Amino acid sequence: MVQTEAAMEAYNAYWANSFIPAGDIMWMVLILILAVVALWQARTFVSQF
Amino acid sequence: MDLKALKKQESKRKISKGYMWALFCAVFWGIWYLPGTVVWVLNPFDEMYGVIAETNGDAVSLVVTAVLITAFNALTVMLALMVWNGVLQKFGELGRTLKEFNPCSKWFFLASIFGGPVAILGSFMAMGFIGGAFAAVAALLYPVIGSVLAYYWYGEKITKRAAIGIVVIILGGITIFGGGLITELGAGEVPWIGYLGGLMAAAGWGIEGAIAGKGLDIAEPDVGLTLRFVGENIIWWILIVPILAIVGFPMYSFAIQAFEPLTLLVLIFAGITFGFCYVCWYKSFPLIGVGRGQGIGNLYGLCAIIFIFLFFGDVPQWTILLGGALCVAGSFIMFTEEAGELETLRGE
Repeated sequence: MVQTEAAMEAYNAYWANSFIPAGDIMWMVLILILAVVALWQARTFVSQF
Repeated sequence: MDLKALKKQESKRKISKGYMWALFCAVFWGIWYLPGTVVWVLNPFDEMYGVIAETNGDAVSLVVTAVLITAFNALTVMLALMVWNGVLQKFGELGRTLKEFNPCSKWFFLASIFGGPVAILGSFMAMGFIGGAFAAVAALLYPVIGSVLAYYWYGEKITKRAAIGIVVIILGGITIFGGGLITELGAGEVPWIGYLGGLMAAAGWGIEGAIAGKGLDIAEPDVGLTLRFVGENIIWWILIVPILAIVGFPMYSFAIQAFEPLTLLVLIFAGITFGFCYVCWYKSFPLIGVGRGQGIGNLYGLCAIIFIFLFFGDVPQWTILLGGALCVAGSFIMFTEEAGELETLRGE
């Protein structure tokens, strides 16, 4: 199933008032950055304890 | 450096790492609300909601759609945890822990029952029958149940300072969602099933934390949590989804339609945030105790408000800012606790 026009409209409406430029992409970028930092910390933690 | 000083230094390092993991948990939990919110408007879930609401009403439709979303969330969490365990090279440990059912994995499968169908389903019941703000406030109370249970079950120490910190964070959370809560409760007759859902959410996550704390005495948090999600996937995909399909809800037809690029992408990001949030939550328990880990984890309410403000542009009301300040104050009360108080997490 492809997304309907109504679904895409509702999805895009969420990011329309975002204070972050290109909010619809940047939320994923932020999650990826946080995930990499958490993994790096977990690797450090394994070597320390 | 003498042995005593080394021990003190080690203890301080352990505590700061414990708070760091609990904070990571709150941040991931808060940002999870972005994919967790937008997935509802995407196909097939929006159509599923409409189709079921036509025949069974809005509340039932919300709970049944939530079951399918949660089942997919559990599936993508497993993928995220496979990456986590792969990076940490824990697959061998995962196999070893899985084989040791009686001493180890039974605790995590038990935790999956309380954290999955009890807490998550309860939260959705509270959301469907009363409202989102009530569900959030009810869930914020889980550290009370978790720390009380951990105290009576295996004597986990909870200092006066930590207890005050937890209470202040909970008060902050209640203030954050207070406006919505009053509106929802004042809207008319509140069905008892909504309150039951709220109780299930608080009790479910609280009990899960206490059980996990017990299991983590002898197992690693990374693999322990992965086993907990193996259990949750079994519960959703082998028990609840088939039962709902047998009862007559179109679970499988909509589940197949979820394999659409944008829906999958949003679900994968929901899985990364939820999975990493949970693994950080579990990692904090052996370091600072269940009560503190859950208390700091409760900062997710504040984090969610910040991320929703930044990415959805929803400007928070003054009550939210006051609640946020209380959350931060509660965290500081806990962070500034003397390291000596946390040297032993269990009672004498």
